[in-house]
Amino acid sequence: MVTQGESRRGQRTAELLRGTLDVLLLKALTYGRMHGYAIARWIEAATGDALFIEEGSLYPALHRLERRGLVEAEWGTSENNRQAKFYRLTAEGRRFLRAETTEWLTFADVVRSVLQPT
Amino acid sequence: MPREPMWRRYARWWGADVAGDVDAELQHHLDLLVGDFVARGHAPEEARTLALQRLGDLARVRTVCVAEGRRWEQSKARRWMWTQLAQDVRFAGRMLARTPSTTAIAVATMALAIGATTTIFSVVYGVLIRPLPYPDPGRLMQVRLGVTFQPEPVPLSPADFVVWRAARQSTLDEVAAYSVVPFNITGIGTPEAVVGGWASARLFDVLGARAALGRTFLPEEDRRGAESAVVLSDAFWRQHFGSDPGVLGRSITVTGTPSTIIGVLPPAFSFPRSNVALWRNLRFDPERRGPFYLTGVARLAAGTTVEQAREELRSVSREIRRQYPGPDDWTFDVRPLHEAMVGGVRPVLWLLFGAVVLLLLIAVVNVANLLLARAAAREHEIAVRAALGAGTWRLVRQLLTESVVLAAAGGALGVALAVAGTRLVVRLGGDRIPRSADVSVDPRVLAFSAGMALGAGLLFGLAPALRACRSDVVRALKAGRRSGATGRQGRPQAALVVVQIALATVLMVCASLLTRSLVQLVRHDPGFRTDRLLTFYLDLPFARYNTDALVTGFYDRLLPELRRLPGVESVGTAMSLPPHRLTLSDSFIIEGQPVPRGQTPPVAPFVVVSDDYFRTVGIPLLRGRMFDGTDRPNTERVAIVSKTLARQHFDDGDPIGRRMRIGPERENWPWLTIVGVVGDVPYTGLDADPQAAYYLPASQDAFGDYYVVVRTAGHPASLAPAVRAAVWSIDPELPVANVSTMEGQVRDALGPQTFRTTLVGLFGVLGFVLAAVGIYGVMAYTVGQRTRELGIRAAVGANPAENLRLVLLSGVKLAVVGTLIGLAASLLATRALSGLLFGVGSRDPAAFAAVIGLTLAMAVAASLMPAWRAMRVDPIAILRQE
Repeated sequence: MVTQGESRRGQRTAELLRGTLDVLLLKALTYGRMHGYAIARWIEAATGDALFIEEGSLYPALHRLERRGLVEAEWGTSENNRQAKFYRLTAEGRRFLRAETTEWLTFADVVRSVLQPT
Repeated sequence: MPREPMWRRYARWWGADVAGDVDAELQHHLDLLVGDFVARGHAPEEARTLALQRLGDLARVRTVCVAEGRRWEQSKARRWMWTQLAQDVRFAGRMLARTPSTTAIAVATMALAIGATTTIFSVVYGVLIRPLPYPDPGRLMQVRLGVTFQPEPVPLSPADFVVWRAARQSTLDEVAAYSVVPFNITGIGTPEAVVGGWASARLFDVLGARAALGRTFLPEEDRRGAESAVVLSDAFWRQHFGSDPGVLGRSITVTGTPSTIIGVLPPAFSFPRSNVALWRNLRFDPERRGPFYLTGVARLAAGTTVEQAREELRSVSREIRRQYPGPDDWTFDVRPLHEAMVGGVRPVLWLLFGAVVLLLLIAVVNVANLLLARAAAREHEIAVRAALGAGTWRLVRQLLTESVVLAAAGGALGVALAVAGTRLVVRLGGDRIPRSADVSVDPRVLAFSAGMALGAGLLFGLAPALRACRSDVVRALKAGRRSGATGRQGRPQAALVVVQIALATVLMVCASLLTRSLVQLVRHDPGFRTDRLLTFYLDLPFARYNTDALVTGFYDRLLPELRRLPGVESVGTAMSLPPHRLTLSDSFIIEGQPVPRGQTPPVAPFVVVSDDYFRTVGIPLLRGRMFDGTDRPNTERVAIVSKTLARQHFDDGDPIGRRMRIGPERENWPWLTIVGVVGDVPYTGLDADPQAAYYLPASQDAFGDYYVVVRTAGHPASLAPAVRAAVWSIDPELPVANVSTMEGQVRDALGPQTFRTTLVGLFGVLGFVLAAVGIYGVMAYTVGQRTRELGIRAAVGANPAENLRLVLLSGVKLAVVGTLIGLAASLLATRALSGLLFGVGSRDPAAFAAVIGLTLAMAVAASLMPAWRAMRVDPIAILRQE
């Protein structure tokens, strides 16, 4: 998910970011069922295009979420009349998102308070 | 639940296509991206390049997604399977609960059958299949001597062992020898007689056993001059020393010799049987080649075969013959230790296993019939379900699930029964089952039971399941709730009952043969009188009785003391006790019949007896005289021989006045004049052929250990305390061992036969009962099916007794067919029994006739009740129903 230029940042960063990606995907789905492309566009809009994400990497993440039972997938027809796979949050996914959000925000607060100039 | 659009259903008709789905998904995203770039004004190829760039490493993404997708499909499939299974099981449970009596009978039948099968299998597994509980047990060998014309290998002598051990061998890593003997232990409170063992120094090393406390023997501890040392078994340590670790270094007296306790063995150690209380070091110092009482144990070196070991031992035997010149018609007998320990009991165990599998099959047939009858009653319900869309496979699976649930319930109960049953069988078998400590219901046995239960469930579920496949839905629906007589009228059930009766017949024939054999054995005249005889065993410790005078002095005081007791008619002593307590055999030669060079002289039981022995035990005198007061140490040496010995070695059968000598190697043994011939008595078991034996008078040959026999006027056991008191009045420290009655000894000798006859008999009875239930079930069912027909017959004027006759006849017909098949099978099966029978051939007509009679009687009895009901069918009621 890290761009080629930043691949030197190391594996640890990649894993940290993978967990974050999961949370973003789940958050996106709170807005209704979407297919992968729509999720990519939503993230782009929501983050103001500040994060560069390889769009292909969304799919492994989505499939893993499906296997963990946090999202549910079904096939349908998309806006332009094509076959597409739509994702939807499950109840467990919602619970997971709530918990992760709390954790993330707490974490961000702590870090900000440490780094903030006094 | 996500809805699946129709187009998707069709696209994925033949199953999931994970790769296709992933491709479609990625393609969709790519197309939309390309569309975006084109909308922003890029040319199509440029748009595609940009889009691919945005997507990133598609190949890797695809691989990961396909892998994830596959795992997801698999877990979905698994969950679906489990849900279906759970559904089936719940449904099966409900169905079974609807017919509680049928279910209960089926479960009970299965529990009995699987319980019995598991019990026997746990014995078979523990004794025959499980490897011995020593490290690398496949390399342990038993070493004895094989002598020409002797069916079983005979023990080694210390001289043989010493030469063998000294020989440089490459095929055997370590060698040792042992012998299990009774020990008298004193110095631990009351004197006690136990089973103990002599061991060479490296016995425990060969077996791979280490002491739990202290140590085992050192290599130098089996040479002349070594101190007497003792290693205790865990059980003995617990019982007599209360598990006190301070026991090391203490001294106890073993058969008169003070010995130091140097170690305690771990609780799991058991060799060769679990009742060996302690081991003492053997000190080897052989002057001649004999006596023969040791069994050798050795560990085969890695990479060598038994044949190579045998080859190497041939050179050792040549060395022994060089050092100790003598007969040369023997070799070393090397065989795997496991084989040596359990080989003898193998036929019986497999016999029992065969019998119990037959029983299981009979039970399976019974339950199949039960379920078939039930299936007929459910025809309507099944037809409705089929009409509502249940596929045939689903129905069959449902019925099979019911059967398997039944079998599982029966199996679980059966295993519980087997745990108790195993303990019972081991206790019943006692000493005769080697490695009884290794017999238990352990995981492998449980797996076998589970397999049996599953197999049984599938087998007896097949019948109703197949029936369901073939049922005519429309007819069944039309027939309504009334159970449909769809023309079959119980024919598959009848066939099953015939099979069942055949199997039960085989089982009963085996039981019948074994029972007749046992009866023959019990009735067989053993050659002496077994009633009112009290026996016990004394072993005078050498330390206190180290001269002939002391030994004879003891018995000269004891025997009159015993005679003086009220209720005692006569008293005798002997070195061996019939029917199966043989102490010593030795070779002998007859004067004038020299043994050809290189051949072993004849061997026979050699029994030293007191003057009154023959009279006390009731052995008849056939010729000449018995020993009496004229035979003293300084008079002519005499002997008495048994009838068979006289017949075998003297042409005219009259040995009186001829002379014989014991053990031709013992040059300084005097010649003995034969003064009498007595009847044969067995010394190696009641079923042994009449054997030669020779007797010497105790007055001329003092031995310290004797069986003492007391003929009593009344009940022999009641004199036991008085007898003990008499012994202790002369020597308070002498243990009195094995106090029992001769009848008890005979029972003990009959142990193996009683064991197998009891078990097979039990299975036979169970099989018989199950077959009776089977016939009853089928007859009742048929009558139920044919109620209409019978009622019409009665209405048309047929004699009610006709109906009775009809049913009875059909029942008997089944039994006859089944019995005939069973008898034919028995003629083959009983060949396996012939080695175990006494006085009864494997085709004994009386046994077969008994079984035929019993089966026919059973068929009539079982059909009686349904026949009676058939007779009482009310024609009016039937007609009204039409």
